[in-house]
Amino acid sequence: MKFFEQWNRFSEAMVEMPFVVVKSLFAQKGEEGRDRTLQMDLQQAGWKAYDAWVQLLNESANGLYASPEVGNSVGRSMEVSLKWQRLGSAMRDAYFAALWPAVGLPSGAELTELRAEVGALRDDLAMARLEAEEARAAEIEVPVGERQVGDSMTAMWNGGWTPETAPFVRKRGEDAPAN
Amino acid sequence: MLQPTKTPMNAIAGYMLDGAMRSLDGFKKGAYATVNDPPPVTPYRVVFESGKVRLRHYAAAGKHAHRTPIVLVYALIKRPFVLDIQKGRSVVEHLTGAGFDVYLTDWLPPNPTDTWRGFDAYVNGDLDKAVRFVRAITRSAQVTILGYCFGALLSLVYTALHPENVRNLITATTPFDMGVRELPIYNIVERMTEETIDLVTRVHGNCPAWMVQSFFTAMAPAHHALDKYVGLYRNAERDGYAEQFDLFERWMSSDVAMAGRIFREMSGDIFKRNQLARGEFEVGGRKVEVEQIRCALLNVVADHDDVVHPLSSLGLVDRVSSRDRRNLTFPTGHVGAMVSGAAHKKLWPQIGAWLGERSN
Repeated sequence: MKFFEQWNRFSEAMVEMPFVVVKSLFAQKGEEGRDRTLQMDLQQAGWKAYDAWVQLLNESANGLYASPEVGNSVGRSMEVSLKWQRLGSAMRDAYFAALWPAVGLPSGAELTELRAEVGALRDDLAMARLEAEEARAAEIEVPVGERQVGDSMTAMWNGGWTPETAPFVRKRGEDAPAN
Repeated sequence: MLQPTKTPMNAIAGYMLDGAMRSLDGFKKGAYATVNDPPPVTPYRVVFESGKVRLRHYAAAGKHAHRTPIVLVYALIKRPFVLDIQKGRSVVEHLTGAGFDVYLTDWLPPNPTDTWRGFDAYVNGDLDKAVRFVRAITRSAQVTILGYCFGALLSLVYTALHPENVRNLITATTPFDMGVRELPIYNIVERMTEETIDLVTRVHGNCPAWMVQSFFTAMAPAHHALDKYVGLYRNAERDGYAEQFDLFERWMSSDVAMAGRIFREMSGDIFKRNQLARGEFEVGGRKVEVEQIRCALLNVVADHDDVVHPLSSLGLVDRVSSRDRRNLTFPTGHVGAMVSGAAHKKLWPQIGAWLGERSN
């Protein structure tokens, strides 16, 4: 239906064009303003016809897509072309698989493996960073007293813990407390 | 870019030549590379990278008005600079200007080792880690998720599987009910057999970027082959039009390959069998049930969308369990919702206001 609507619009525009051309041919020369108006009319009619033509093209393409025959043949041709590509790439792979090691270069499969390993390392790093941020966020949410206990527990577990409140421990720059 | 000359045919031919060179440039860079992004409008910092996601942080501009951060989930198939394309037409600029901290998922193109990546890897892996990271560094229990197009689909699946992490969900132009076959190009995909879909990934590993681009070009062949260049000629005198055209074209040619498994899931499970809308789609061994979504939902639908038909999106609000849910329709196209002047004057202020009321 839309196609016929567009077709009617296109026909109307095509009928209008010759009228505007004839009008401009019979117009008296010399009046500048009149000449310009006629030129603009001609231009407008031209663009109108062009727009109608583009719409008609779009509707024709849509009509083609909607057709089951076209859909089936596009699907089939895609399948055939992919099968040929598959055959071509299998032959290419077989040829280069022998060539690369012969010239001392890594094969495609080896490069893919290396890429996967690098990717996995990057993911490990990202995960560690994410967990660190989550741990930091969780620490901040814990009430102050509990966090201090948590911090010292972690420090004790990981080493490097110094009991700041314990007596007889000399802090940097301080003398030992007198007993 | 060529300057317009007095002969229309010459000028249009020049623009077409420019377009062909741009396509060749993209092709020359290979199936896994993309065109270079233009300089960002809004400054950002990369704060986290894991798997195939690089998380960008755009700090709230001026007064930091809202506590709940926004995770902006972009699609996997093109570069995200369309969300920050030009001053006054930037979604990111709009949101940061409204006082939100924005974190954008910049999906990295898959390489030949990523063919195994499916929804599970992207949603339960990368997106979940990104959300966890945002929650940790902002000390927020929950985030707002805003997804666009394919990104909205990822957001939807994520929210259904991890509802506890999401306070608000905004889905823009979401391909939810793929049983809707209103768009003619869908008939071609419908006719592709399972074997063809499988062959794409057997031959190429991932679905190549040029194949993704062909799909978009086939949606409006006359427009892409000729009409857009004629449009440029007709509007060459309009202030800023040529610059916008150039940026937009750059984005249109910025297609990214799709990892093999997610391509198969998208074409087979979601598109052909409509499993998501039917409640049969499984990710990581779990059924994706949108009924699990209980957070506030704003579903943005573009009335003239020619990529995701409005009817594919509208039904989503009736399926979720949220009390606070609504559709927000706007008379624009698929990309217009993100970049058009009208959307930035009328649509985004509404989205910002909706979010503002739910983000403290």
